[in-house]
Parts: sequence; structure tokens; C-alpha cells
Amino acid sequence: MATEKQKHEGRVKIGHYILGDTLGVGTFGKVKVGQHELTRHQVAVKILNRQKIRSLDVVGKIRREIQNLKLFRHPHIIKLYQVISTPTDIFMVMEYVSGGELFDYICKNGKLDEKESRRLFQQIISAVDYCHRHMVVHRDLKPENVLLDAHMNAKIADFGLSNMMSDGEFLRTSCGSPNYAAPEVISGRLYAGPEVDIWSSGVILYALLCGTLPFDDDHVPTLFKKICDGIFFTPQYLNPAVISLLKHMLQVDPMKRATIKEIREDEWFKQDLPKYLFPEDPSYSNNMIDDEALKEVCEKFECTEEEVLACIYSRNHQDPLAVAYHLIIDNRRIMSEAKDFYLASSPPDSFLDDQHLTSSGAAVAGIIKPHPERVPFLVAETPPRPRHTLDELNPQKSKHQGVRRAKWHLGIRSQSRPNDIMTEVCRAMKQLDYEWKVVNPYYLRVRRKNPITGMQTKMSLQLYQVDSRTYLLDFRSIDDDMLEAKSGTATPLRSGSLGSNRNTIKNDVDGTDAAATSSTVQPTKTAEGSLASSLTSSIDSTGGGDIMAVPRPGSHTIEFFEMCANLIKLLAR
Amino acid sequence: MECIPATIDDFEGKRDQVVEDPEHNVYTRFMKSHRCYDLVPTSSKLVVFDTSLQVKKAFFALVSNGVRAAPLWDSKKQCFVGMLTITDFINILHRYYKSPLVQIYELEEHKIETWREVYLQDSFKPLVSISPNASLYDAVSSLLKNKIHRLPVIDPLTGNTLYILTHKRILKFLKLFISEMPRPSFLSQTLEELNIGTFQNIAVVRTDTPLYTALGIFVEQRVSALPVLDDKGRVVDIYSKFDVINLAAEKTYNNLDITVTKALQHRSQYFEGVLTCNRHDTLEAIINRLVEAEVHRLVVVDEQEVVRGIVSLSDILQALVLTDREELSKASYPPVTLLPQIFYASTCTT
Repeated sequence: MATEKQKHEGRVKIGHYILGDTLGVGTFGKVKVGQHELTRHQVAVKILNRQKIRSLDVVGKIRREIQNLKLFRHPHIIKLYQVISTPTDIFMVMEYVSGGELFDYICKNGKLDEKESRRLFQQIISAVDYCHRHMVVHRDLKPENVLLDAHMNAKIADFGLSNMMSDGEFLRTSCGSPNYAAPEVISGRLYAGPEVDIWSSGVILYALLCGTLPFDDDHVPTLFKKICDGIFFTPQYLNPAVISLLKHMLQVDPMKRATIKEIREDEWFKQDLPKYLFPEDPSYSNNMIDDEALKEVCEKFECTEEEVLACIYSRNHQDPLAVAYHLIIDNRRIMSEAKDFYLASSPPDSFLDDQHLTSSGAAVAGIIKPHPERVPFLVAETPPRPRHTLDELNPQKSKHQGVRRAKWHLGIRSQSRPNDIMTEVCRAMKQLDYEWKVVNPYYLRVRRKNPITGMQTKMSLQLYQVDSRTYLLDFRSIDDDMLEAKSGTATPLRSGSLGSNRNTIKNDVDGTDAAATSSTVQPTKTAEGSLASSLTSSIDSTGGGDIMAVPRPGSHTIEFFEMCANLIKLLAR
Repeated sequence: MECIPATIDDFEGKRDQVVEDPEHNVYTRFMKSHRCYDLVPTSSKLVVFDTSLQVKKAFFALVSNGVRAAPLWDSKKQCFVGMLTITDFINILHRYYKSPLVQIYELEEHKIETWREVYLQDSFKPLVSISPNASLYDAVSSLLKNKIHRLPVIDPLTGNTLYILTHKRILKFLKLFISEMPRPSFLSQTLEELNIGTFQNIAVVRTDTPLYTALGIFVEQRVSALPVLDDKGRVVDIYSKFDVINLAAEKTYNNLDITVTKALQHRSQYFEGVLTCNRHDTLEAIINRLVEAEVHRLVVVDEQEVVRGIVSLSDILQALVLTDREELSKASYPPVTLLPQIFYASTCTT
């Protein structure tokens, strides 16, 4: 199971992409270049080792987040096309850019001039702003995560990824290069909000302008002290206007640190600011609901409009549905405002389609390996669930999933007085031509002669008190050959032995064996006397029976169910 | 109508005499010495439909209960009259589908009994079932002889359906004990040497074959899965009868003009690729792969991944249980009729 990746002529294939050279090794694992087997479209494939990812039990939430990352469209954010999961690794198929890391660029070429620095910085702030507005914090922003495309444009990678790591893990891994980490991050505070990205952006701006880092020391404790003191050297050549911005961004107290809004109002920042980076504020306070976006969310997540509206109206901006809604609106706007740019490095539409990528040849297993021919869930069953998300694989997820299977009991609940209940029951049985014997006022033995098979079907009725007001009428099947079976157990337990080799073989032949011992009647929403009942028969594994020469006509269990159903229907009238 | 199910229940009389060579027909003897009862799980889910239930609701109930077939109970006759399976769903879709714009009235409105009247047209046959006391050999024979995939086990004492027996379950059961039995040499022989599987007239579809056409192949040729081929004849996917139930799960049965590729998209997240083998794989390897993957068939491909044949659980059971191995090994040119349960017709593309 370790390598579900398909070996193809000696090369590893993920989806339709053949993996090539390693582009780099990041915080989360290796990044390799991938090439589409037919179109030669290049992608970057990030391989995340699952061990580095937060406990797998909670991956449901993470998957939803990744799902949303796929919706992220920003000219300066590396696009995530697809996520493929295997039991050991997660592969993220992403946009590939050719310019390498900003870090390497600075190392090779030294500091950039002020104008060029500002251009890249504006792009970075635009990307950070976009993510923050969509409730994603980077937490690990550094020049290594800022990539360059062929035209020297910034592209931020790994947005949202740090959220997948536990805080301990995050800190441990980032200790290797804490130069960009905000004071509150290195001092180990658990909360890392948008302020940490502002700090890191400040460090990047400094690196762009100076070619060095504001806080640097080979001795890590000293470095930590420098960061926490927040004192950094400002070279002479720096424009005073930018120094004040840097100081504002590199404020040790996160409360005093510049916000995106403040940066955007900064005079130095505003110079030569391309319009597309900060399109007219879509504003969440906008009360007009965008119908098209709403429809798209419903389609993508297969939920109802009401669900999405509830999230939007309750200002629950963190809810994936609300995030998706706002992303769609934003994407459309960016599409119209920066169309050429935005499309420049996007693959053809079809590659954005998961299904297209994995439908064939992708020998990658899901996280929980489902049975290859497992009957799919009924999508249209209410309430609707999101599909096409990795959440489908997570049985624990319930909020939007809603496959809460009703537990059915065979019986009738009533809040009437016990004597009245029994009177009603007897009246109904009389009407149905059942015969009964009163064992005690709340326990009846009932029989009915089946007019077709001529067989007697027997059952017993027992009234139980559930709580101070509620009573439960329980139905039990009775078989002549046996003592009364357990409540609701439709299949009679038989005595006698069938053969000597039974017991040994019975050991868990089938993994699907449920532990249930009682039978469950599934919705008997029966139109015109139909009985669509599902029963979990429990058969005594040690039991056997005499082999009868003539099979019994009819079916004991089904006749019992019909008897119950007829009585319940009459009483429910 | 006679309502006593046609039940095979003469286990006692079928015990074979001890054969001297322990390897001789070891699996046939194994099957004859175990009863269907042995395969019935201690507890399992069984869904029964009353024939007055609407067909559409019945298919949804299959999906929501996660089962693939259900015995049908006729309340008027007070007996089990048949099985409802995915094949019925396919037949209904194929027979009544007109266009994506027209709702399938018959699917929306028919009751199970209405459908059975139309489909069977008074050719009602009694339900094929088996007693828990019958041998597995009888079960295998019944599955293969009747060309069915679901064999209800009905307890003669109570008339209750206890379980629905399948090829898969039987082979899995055999596999559990296979290591404890003498190992016949033919397990190390290859598919080619043993001539197991179907290698002629394999029913296939192309990636762009409309779903409706694929359903037609299921209906007419009675195959259970169609390898999906690319332009070079290489297998890239497989569309099985089972996949059709997804149309019910997603309520997308009103458009059958889509391609099989599109219809298969729903499982892309899980799909692990088409399970294949080649003619030089040993029978043992094939059995292991089938049981492990819990699938009904493997696509036999050559080195270029071009489809050469299909080997199914039916083929395997036929070969292991119903074929006298010694005869087969001796036969230099084994007749194709060894596999009468599989009907393949000519390659079908759009």
C-alpha cells in the first residue's frame, strides 16, 4: 500500500502526471515537477507525508479546507489544482512557475531596487489580503515560499498548509528558519492570526530592500531575543517612508502591528499600485445576495440555498459554505478585471477538473479504502451533503453530510394512558381478525391464521413504560418450535445441531457481520400496504434444525412483519 | 401458482466417496462437504421488498441500505417471488429511456409487480433459491447453471430468507481454507495453460461510448462489466453493472446520453485503477487478486495493456469446482464450451 503510485516505464505517475525532478524540499515534504502524460502541461507536485499532518481523525476539517484552497484564484497565489490522497501521502498538484524562489533570487542578485521591491511587495500584500479575507492565514510566509514566474511576478505558495499541522509540529519544523517568524509565534503562543503574516511580509519587504534579514544570528537563542526585542538595523539608503512602514509591520506587539488596511493606506505602498491587486471592495456587508454564486455553491457542495444563506446571514464567515460563496464572487471579479493575467499561467479548464485527472490511470487509493463496489450513498436523501469533496471519505463529518441513518424500532410509542392504549390495540386487532390471549393486561399473545398459507403466525405484545408519560408497545415474534425470541428478533432461534463442523468455520467469515442481535425495521412508509422492510436477522450460529422434507410455505419473518405493519397502520390512522 | 420455492436440498445424498488421490478434485470435494449454512454470516443485513412497492423507491432503498439485491415478497401470494437487482434497474432504464428531457414515466410510476408483469410477460419462473442444508457444490452449480449472481438461502423450516449467496462469498470462503487443503498442481499453471477465462468477442466500450449504449450491451449480452478502452485498445477503465446503481444514488438516471467516462466520474476519488492480469499469471495469483480486491472479474491484458480477455469469478468457480481437472489438463485443446455461463458478443463501439 505504501506506493500506490503507478510505476510507468520506471517513472512514478500521479493522476495523469509523470513525476520528474525534485524542485525543492519544503517544510511539508518534497516538491517534484510533474508533466502531463499527454499535454506535457507542467505542474508542481507537493508530496506531504501524512505523519507530518495532524492526527488523521480530524482530517475531515482539513480536507474541507483543502477543498476551499482549490477555489482560491489569485494572480499571486500558486493555484492548487488537485489533491490526491494515499494512505501514506497526500499529493498536491499545483501550478508550476519557472522563476524559482524569491529567496534564491535575492541570494544571487542581491537587493532589489525600491521600485521593484515595491512591485513585488504589493503583489504579496494583495495575495495575503485575499487569503485573510477568505479566512486563511499563511503562518509560514518567507522568501522560500514566495516563488517567481517567468515575468518576475510573485506567487505565494503553501497558503493554508500550515493550518494542517499541529502547533507543536509547526514550531518544531519552523525552528530551522525562524528568521521570519513573528515574536508571538516563536514564543509559542498557540494562536497565530493574520498578524503573523503581516510580520512575515515585513521581513520579506526588508529582505527585498536590503538583501539581508532584519533579524539574523547564528545563535538561535540570540536570534529569538532579537526578534522578541523587535530591533533591527535600517541601512542608510532606505527611503524614510519605507522605514516607517517596516517599523509598523515589525511591531512586536501584535495589537500595534500594521493591518492590511493600514498598509494599503500607506503612502509609499500606494505608489504605482496596479488597480487589479485591490479591486473594489466586494464587502461582506453587501446585503445583495449574488444568485449565480449561490447556485454555484449549491452545485459544488450539493447543499440547499437555505444552508448557504443561513451561513451568510449569520455572518459565519468561517463556514466553508460562506467561504466558497465569497470565493466564487471574488473569482468572477478577478476574472473580469485581470483576465489575461489570471489566465496566463492557468492550465486549460479541463485540468481543473478533478474527475478528469483521476478518472483513469490514477492508481491512488482513498484514505479509507472503500470497497471497490460498495453501494454509494443516496445523494438525494435529505438532508443534502456536499459531494466532490474529500469529506465524503470521512464518516464522522456530519454537519453538512447528514447521512444520519435513522434508527428504527419495531413498536409503537404513545403518551396515552396505558389502559386506553391496550383498548385501542384490541379494537384494531379485532378489526384485523387477529385472535389473542390476555396473559396480563399489558401482555398479550396474538395469532393470526394466514388465509393463503394456512400457517399460524404468532406474536406477543408487551406494553412498557419508557418514562413518566411515554409507553412503548413492543412486538415480538413467536415461533412454535422455540421459546419466545428476543424482542424484535424475527428469526426464530432453533435448537439442535446441524453438523459438527459448523462452529469452527463460523469464525468471522465475513467482515461485514454486524454485531446486532436485534432486528431493525426500516422505514415502513408503506403506500398501499406495501412493506419495504429491512431486517437484520440474527441467526444463532450454533443453532441448527431438522431438515424438513417439505419447506414451510410463506416466510415466518415476513408474515410477522406484515402482522405488525397492518396493526401499526390501523393504529396510526 | 406454486409458491414453494424450487429449493435444492438433497445434501446428504451427494457426499462423494473418498477418493484415493488427495489432490484429485479437491475443491469439488470441499464444496460438496460444506453446506450453504456455513457461509451464512452470524448476522447480516437483508432487505426485502414487497412487490407493491414502487420500483423507484425500491432502487433508492437498495442504495440507502447499501445492498445490491433484495428478495421480493408477494403479499397476495404470501411467498418470495423473485429478486430485485441492479439488472432490473438497467433493464428498466434501457427499455424506457427516451431522452434527457423526458422523465422516465415507468421508473417513476411502476410498482415492482407492474415491472415484473411487463418484463416477465407471464413467463414467471419460481424463485431460484437454495436451502442452508444444501452443499456449496449445489450452490455453485445453481449459480452457474442458472446464470445468476444472487442466490437467496431460504430456510425450509421457517421460509425465511437467511442470506444472499454470491460467487464472491463462495470463493472467499474457499480461499480461507485453501491453505489447509492439498495443493493441486494446476494452481501454478497459467490462465493460458488452463484456458480459463473468455478471450473471444469481449464486450467493450470506448471512453466516449454513450451510457445508453453501454446499458444496451448489458441487456443484450448479459455481461456484468465492460472494459473501457482508449483509441489504442488499451484498457483505461471499467464500467460494471454495479456502477449503474450510482445513477440511482445521484438521481442522474434521467440523462443516459452522457459518456461512460462521465458516468464513472463519481468514483474517481476512490478508483484504484482497473484490476488486470495477464495470461501468464498463475491461477493461484488470479484467485488471490480477485479475493483480495473483492471484485468480480479481472481484465486480461497484454504487455501493451490491450484487452485480451476477461476472467471472472464464474470462470474460476467453474474451473475449480465444476471441472474435472485431470480431464482438463489432459485436453490439449480445451473446448471453449467449458465456459457456457458467459456470453460475449462482438466488440461493440459507437
